[in-house]
Amino acid sequence: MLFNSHTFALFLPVVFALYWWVFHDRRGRNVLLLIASYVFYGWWDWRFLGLIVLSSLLDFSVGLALERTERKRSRQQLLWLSLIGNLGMLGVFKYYDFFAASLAGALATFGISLHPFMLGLVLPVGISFYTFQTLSYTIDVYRREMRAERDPVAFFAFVSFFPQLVAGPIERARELLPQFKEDHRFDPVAAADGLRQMLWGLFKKIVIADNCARLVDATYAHPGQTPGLVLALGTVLFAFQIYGDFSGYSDIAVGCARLFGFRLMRNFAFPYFSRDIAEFWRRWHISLNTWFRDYLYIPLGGSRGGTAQRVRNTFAIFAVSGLWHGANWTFLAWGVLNALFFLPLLLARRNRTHTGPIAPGRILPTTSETFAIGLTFGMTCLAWIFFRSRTIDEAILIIRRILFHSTGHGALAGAMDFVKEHLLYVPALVLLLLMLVVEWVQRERQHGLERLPSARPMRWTLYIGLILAIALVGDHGAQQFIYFQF
Amino acid sequence: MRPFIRGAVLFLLVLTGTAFGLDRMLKTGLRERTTDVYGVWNRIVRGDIRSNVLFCGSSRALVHFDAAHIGERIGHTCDNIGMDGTQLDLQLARLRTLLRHCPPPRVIVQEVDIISLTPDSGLYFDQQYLPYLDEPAVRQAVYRIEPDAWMDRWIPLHGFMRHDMGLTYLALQGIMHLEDTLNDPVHRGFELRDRAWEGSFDHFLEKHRDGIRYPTDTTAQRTLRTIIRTAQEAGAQVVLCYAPELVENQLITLNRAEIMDIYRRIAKEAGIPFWDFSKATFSNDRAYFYNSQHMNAKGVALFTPMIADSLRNLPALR
Repeated sequence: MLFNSHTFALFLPVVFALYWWVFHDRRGRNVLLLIASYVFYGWWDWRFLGLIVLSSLLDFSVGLALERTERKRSRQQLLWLSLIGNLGMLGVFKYYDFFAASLAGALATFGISLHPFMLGLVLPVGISFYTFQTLSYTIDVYRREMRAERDPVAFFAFVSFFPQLVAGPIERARELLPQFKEDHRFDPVAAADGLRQMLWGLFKKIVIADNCARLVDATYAHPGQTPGLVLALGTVLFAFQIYGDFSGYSDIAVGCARLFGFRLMRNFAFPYFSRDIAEFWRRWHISLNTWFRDYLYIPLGGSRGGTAQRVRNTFAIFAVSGLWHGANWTFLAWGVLNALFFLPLLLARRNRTHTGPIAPGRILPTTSETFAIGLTFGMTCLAWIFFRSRTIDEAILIIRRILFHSTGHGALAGAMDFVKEHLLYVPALVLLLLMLVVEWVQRERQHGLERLPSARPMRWTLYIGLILAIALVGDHGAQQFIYFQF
Repeated sequence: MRPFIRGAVLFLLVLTGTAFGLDRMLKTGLRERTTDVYGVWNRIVRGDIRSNVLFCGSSRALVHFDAAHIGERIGHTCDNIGMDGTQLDLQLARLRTLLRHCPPPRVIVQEVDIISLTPDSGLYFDQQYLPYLDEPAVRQAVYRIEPDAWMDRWIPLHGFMRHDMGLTYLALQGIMHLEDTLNDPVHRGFELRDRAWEGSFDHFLEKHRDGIRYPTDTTAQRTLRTIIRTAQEAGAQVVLCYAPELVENQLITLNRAEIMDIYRRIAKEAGIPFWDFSKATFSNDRAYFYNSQHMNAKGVALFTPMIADSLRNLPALR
């Protein structure tokens, strides 16, 4: 079920009403959330519900077993069981074909012919998210950072909690799981703010991301014949497409959870206002990046140790992060490129220069801040080319065309033709600018519509304006969220 | 909880009211248009089509019957209500709508073609029906093909949400009377397509080297009979007409004789003429067509005097 679908528009009020008016005890509500979450997921494809149940069952059992044993070797074996089970599932569905084909390709260069059996499986939606979420639980129990959960309903509901099941935020068990043990009381302020956050998320998804998607698809369809200026425009628009898509989803997820009294972690903190790449990565897909930091980077030694170790760790985390997004060399290249951007800051110990608010107390950034923001955005756009391209060769072709085919009469005429053909998208692009202005003004808040200062009529006018923009300017082709494919 | 629900309900009421108002305004904008597809629909529902001769049918009617020039030749006013990509049931709905609002013409020329008897499928360019879902005949026909279309009628802005910004833009143009009336491709319902040969037919030929059979759906036959009867009951003389068609396509149609026999039989049953121009001399030459089914401007220029000559001899126009 998609957040931007009619079905969800009916599903959410029904679950909301049942949750607050029919079920009054914690256990009953958890049962409701579990059933609702399975319906939510099963609406897409009920066959893959089995995987969620399997993953939940595995980690629930491993958690209990970990608590019952003090023997280090047994505990390690149990942890490996969870890792193999979850990552094995991920490997089979997501990576097997890619690595098999890559191996065959590599062997072919040495004249060895290999024809591996290809699984050709559909990638279950959200598998990368819920497997990481359950893994965090097992690792935390293994590290004795939390107690094992004994209530199966609470645990299964934690793994499958529908607002964040298919595209995050990837919650830590120690943050989310205890919330299934609380007796939630309806908080009208939190619920209203949740609705506002959902509205902002829907706006970013349906108006910004989906309209940008049409333009990006048009520019990236035949890069060999597309003028460099158009490809540059398409790349910038892709940056906003993926931001609108994923941060929009996260806003909807966080807002939706708040309707039920749950607090999810923040996943995006206005990343395109970052002043360097290190800050960008603290503001982009926060739940995944902190997951990798806590469960991969720090165990590998983090930024301690010698230069070689720090370089290795940085490349490892960015490469794994790239591959997490998909089984393709382009994602790996995206990760490695970001590592290359990040490393100079790390080695110069300047990776934590910008940890505070951006342009605090000022309406506009200073010239140097503007330059830093622009440069950081340019670097992320360069990396997005690899993320969006189908192959490495295509990404290089696009970069070459942007660099060498963006000037001259032909390039300008081609760009003008493209603009003329897509004049219909002008309102969406104007709204993109509005989104940037709103987010700049709200940059020290949690989301674009938090704590608006004006009186009710003004606020309602803004909300109604956003809803009408979603209705009339939005793309209602029910495009899937990009991150569903991960 | 109560204040929250009260606030939410109040907000929804304000939102719904605003959306209804905007929906009405945009639909009014589409009904204000005077050009393209909406221009023809609007002339129909305003009762502005008062011609003696009316050409009905699908895209082959739309692009083949040059109503203005035929009218000049025969000395009678003519109009064309051919619709792109439609089947007979939607053509019937349009005819019924016209007869509801406009005086019946003296002659109705119903165009038929090789795919007229194909069963109804999806709606082509369905946004054209959005402002007319209050017309009973249109509503009935559209709902039958697309049962969810009721949402376009009852849920404010739903019809505009289903389509891209272009539809809202057209509506706003209509409200502000900013249409480009000088370059309207449609004139008295006729759309001149001055195009060169497109080439898609060659792929079609390649794909159907052993020939092709077209369906002869009995429901479609019944609808054709209903169209004829509806027109006759309104007092019009009806003619069934098969406009020129590229001969190459005729040669690969395995059941062409059967289809033509059905048209002849239906015409005979209704006591009306069946004019078959499909074998017009220029039908052998691709230069007069832009695809196998549609003539270009050159073809239409040759066809216009032919249809005018036939019309001139009809008793209803003497």
